[in-house]
Amino acid sequence: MADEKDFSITISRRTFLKVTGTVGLVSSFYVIFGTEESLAKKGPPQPVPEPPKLIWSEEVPTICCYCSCGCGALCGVEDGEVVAVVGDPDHPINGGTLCSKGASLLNLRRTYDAYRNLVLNPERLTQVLYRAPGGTDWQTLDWNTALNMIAARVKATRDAYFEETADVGGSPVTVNRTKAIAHWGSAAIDNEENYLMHKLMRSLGVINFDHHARL
Amino acid sequence: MTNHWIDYKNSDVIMCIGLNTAENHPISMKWINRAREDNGCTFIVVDPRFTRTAALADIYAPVRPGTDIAFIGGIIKYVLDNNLYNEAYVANYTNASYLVDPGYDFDPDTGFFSSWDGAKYTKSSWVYQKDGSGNVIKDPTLTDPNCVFQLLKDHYARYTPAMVSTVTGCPQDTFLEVAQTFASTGTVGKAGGISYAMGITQHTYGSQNCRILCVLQLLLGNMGIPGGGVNAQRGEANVQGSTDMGMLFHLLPGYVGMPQQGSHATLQDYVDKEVTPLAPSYWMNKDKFLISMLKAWFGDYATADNEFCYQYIPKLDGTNRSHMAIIEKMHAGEVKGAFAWGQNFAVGGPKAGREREALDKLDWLVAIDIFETETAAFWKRPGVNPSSINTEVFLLPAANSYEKEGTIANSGRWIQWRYQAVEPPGQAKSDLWIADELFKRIRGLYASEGGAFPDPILEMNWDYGTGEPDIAQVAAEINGYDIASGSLFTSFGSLKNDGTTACGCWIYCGYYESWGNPACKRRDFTTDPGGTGLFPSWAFAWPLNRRIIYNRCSCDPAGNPWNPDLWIVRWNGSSWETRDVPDFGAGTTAPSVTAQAPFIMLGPERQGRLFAAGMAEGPFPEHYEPKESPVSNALNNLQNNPCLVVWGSDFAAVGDPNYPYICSTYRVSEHWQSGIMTRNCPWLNELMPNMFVEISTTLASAKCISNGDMVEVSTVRGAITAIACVTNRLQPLNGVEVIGMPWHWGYAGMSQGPSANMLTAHVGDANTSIPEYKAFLANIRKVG
Amino acid sequence: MSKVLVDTSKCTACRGCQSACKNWNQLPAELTRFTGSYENPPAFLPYTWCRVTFNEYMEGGAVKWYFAKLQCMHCAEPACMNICPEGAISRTFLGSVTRDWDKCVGCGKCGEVCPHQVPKVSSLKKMMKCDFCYDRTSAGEPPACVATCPSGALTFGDDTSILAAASARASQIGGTVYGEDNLFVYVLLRNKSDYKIEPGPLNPGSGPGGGGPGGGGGPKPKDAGAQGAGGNEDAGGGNADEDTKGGVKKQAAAG
Repeated sequence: MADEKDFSITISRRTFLKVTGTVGLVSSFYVIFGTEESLAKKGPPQPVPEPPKLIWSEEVPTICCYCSCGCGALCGVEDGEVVAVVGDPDHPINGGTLCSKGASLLNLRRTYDAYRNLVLNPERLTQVLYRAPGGTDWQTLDWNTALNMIAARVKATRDAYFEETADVGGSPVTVNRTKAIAHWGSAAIDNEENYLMHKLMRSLGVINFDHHARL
Repeated sequence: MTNHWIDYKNSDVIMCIGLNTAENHPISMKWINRAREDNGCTFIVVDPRFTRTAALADIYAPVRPGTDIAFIGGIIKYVLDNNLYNEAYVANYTNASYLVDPGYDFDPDTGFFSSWDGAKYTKSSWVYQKDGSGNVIKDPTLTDPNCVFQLLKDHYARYTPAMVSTVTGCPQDTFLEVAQTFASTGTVGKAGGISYAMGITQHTYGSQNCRILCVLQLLLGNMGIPGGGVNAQRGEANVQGSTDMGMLFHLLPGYVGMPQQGSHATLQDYVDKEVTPLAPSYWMNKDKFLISMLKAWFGDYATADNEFCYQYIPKLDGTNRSHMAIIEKMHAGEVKGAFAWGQNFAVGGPKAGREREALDKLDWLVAIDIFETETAAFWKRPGVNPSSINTEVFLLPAANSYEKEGTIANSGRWIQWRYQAVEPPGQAKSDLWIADELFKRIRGLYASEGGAFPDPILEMNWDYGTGEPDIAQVAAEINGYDIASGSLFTSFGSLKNDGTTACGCWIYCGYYESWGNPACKRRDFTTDPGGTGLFPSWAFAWPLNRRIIYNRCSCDPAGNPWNPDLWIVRWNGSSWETRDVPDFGAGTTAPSVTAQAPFIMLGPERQGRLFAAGMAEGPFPEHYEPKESPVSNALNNLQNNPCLVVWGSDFAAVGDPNYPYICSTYRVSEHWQSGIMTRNCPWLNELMPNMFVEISTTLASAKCISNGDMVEVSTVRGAITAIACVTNRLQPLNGVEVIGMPWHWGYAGMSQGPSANMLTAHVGDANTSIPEYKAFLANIRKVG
Repeated sequence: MSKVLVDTSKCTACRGCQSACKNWNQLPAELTRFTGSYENPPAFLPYTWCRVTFNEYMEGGAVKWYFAKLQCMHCAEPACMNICPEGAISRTFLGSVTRDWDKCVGCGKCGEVCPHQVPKVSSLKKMMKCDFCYDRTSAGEPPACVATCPSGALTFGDDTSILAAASARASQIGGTVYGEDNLFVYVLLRNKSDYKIEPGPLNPGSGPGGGGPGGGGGPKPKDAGAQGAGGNEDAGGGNADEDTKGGVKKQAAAG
């Protein structure tokens, strides 16, 4: 299992944190506004002109998920929640800089509401959604039910439309495929994930198989 | 990219063509601006629109969409006419000296190359002349009329500056300024880089657009050198990696081709047809890559006696199964169920109206994403009654990029690890977990119930633990290992075809070579030999951590760097000194030997191909018009690429008065692709809130459109309404007006708007089937 | 003292600065609408303290596009500070101009007199504007906008080196320097007004900009195209691209 902390061995401490440390502001800076926990303590959101200063105690390196420059970013994490995402100053490609999309990485998880509270992006999917044939809205499912339903449909379709051989110039050739299932992979997800999806789909015999690289 | 982002700082001239780098790859400008400041680099931008990139250009050349071959062909002619090419490079590192069959020809009167059989090219005349021993006959003087160099000269003789200007709409003096400036990099020691993106590829001749950039760079000696190269700036964070993982119908991981039923019935057939003929290039090892992948997939079940489970891999049926083809097959009812994994073609696919309709025909759809996509929500799109659509839809909530861990590969082929910062929200799960769970459940069903040919499923090597899969196990499997000892490989040189090695994706060998501190996690940002910008100890670049591929070409045949101040490999008289990982047998192998095979992957020549018989529509790139064009082809008498792929007949004819304008689609800095990951970001919506359409002041004036008006843009295939942006940044080119529009919007998410792809068509490139998004015919009018 | 160099000749208008400002200063999005220019929002708003202007001109028959990143200039002679009846605006040891929300009553006088039209009053009756990322700059770190800038258009440094760099760059590209006495020093290729820099005070008769909690995070206004925090009644309006009808302007006339 990969050690989640192994980057901390090589990552350099941010100068900023060092400096704030030396002037003795650490404790007052380590106050986070807007986490769900702090909101619970405070009660309902109150309008405030300014939230307390933004600071985090852990920095987790990531690579920006938008274009293909491969810029480094740091997720500022406090109390198990991301509070900001900033450029990774050590990264040789971007050297701490980020464009408008990269500088908005936080929004992929959290947004500021009108009271400047940091909340979960209200558009994020947090439940399995299901739409029945002819249905007019989503309904929720639990993972177990949904995955079993999907597995059953995959199997039924595959079994009904599986070709073990094809006639090639009058001779049977083993083909072991189904033309009834299509799969789009993704340039937005990780190599290891795409690799598993590839294994999964080819084991089923899927040949309708494409993704962003074509589009 | 043959090179990488930081390497832009090493260029003397950079030409961006079919690429809006400042808007779509903003960080590139850090290095382009560095080159301009430190090297006095001249920055050329060739684009139909005056973009944010053009705003910083030293030279801006407007061109009509779809005329890149005419433009670059003109530069090639300029380079050849004025002897500005790198002679030693061309003679030694390319196939310029190869003699071609005397039957080869191109006829501008018909627009066809030789060997056209009425439906396709047989390519029988697109071959090299060989002597009695089967060796290619060459003319090192490059003077034989049948040698590639002379054929190239002959082919582009028609591409005069006047012709370039006629076809592209670029003023002649601007074209000549570009030609002269870029050709200056043919001087030994100078470096010119070309960068491109979808403005080059998304045409019915997109592959030839790429090819012609390579031809120019080979002539100028710009391939394999720092600051040079042909740099495809890829559109998504991991589109390099997902392609490396073979997520395309015709590929397995590592660019190993999928077996075809017609020619690859057995593993031996595959080896005979796809491996042996490529010797002596490095692809002669493809059987080792394929068999090692089969061992990774099927473990002990894969043995020499059962072709290493080769038959467990499905075979293609010889038909096109790329994106547009799948949609058409879905429409026709052949496809019953589908997975759309982080993919939103209801907005991003061409002819989106038809793509959405195709989803109506499915029995079931599984969509996996972090936000609701238009593809998942196709049944509630505007204008349809959900209750009439019987597709069952599952929408699975996924983790975002920092809610899980794994690697992605950037355009420079750097494979970098992303760590998990937080748990996914609610019930969202990583795609790894979803794929793992799905497989396990499907296998469970086959184990308990049986079913159609369950063997590949039951015998698949798949054990990544319970709960969140152990990603280190997956990465190690991709990286490759010795089966007996379990030790991880550092190089694909270790792979064998005897079943003793396992490797999921051979080009990733070495990226996860250590359990403790794998190469893809390295963070040494201080090691930069010679200030070249290679940063070899930061992460890992495939192949073998090589940062600039074809780097033997950075030296002359004797092993002396073309630019001694910026060397990455060099011969010191007795051995090779290396800053980058050499892609030739370095060590003490003499330069005269290594100079014979500077392009190790290009089999069997191992030389840069000015003449490439592998292309569908001709060994030299020739200008054709987009499928829909307002003008006739001025360079030959064939309007369109004869090999393009097309579905349907809903196209406007040349000169159709109902659709007189060229329309082109593109992206903006503030949004990304189909918008799902940006239109749900409030900060980005503030910057770019709505869909809009850009037109010139002249077109606006002719159509009585004012800035900010609502306008309708229509094609044969559909119409959309959006806000007009009237600007001088678009200009008519030889009298042809161009309409531009971003394609980021759809009917889901926080910011919604019309989809530009309602207007595009199902027509694509002859070699890759990439859709022609970049040029089609449209009309525009003010509404409301 | 530290200053920021804004070299407009290197700016690509990626607007990383606009996002990074929101990210660091914990600012919600404002609701905007596309009105015919990429520039958005077309004016400062209570929760938009940094913005990039897009300025299109014809020069010798060729189009040019100039960008300038604007924010509070932290003026040498801050009109806002001088007029504030509550003494809520002051200068820090950094030279930056800051506001004390305990004293501010949201009268909006500062916004009326600012030649850069920077201060905006929120619905909480507090003046909102760039504070030079005081928490960062007081620790010697560059403001968030500078730290994020990919193109090299923004540089943070001591005043001597910034002024020298500005002057050197201006002579290199035939431009001019604007705002030497402010914390933000600009290198420009055209007149400052061509970048919408220093548009002059708003009509003193006009009231403060609106502002206040809106729909952000709650039910979303689908038709408006964006989730916003509200408070941007003054964000709408005309075409931000001036002079799109042509007309050659003299380059760098102020030089």
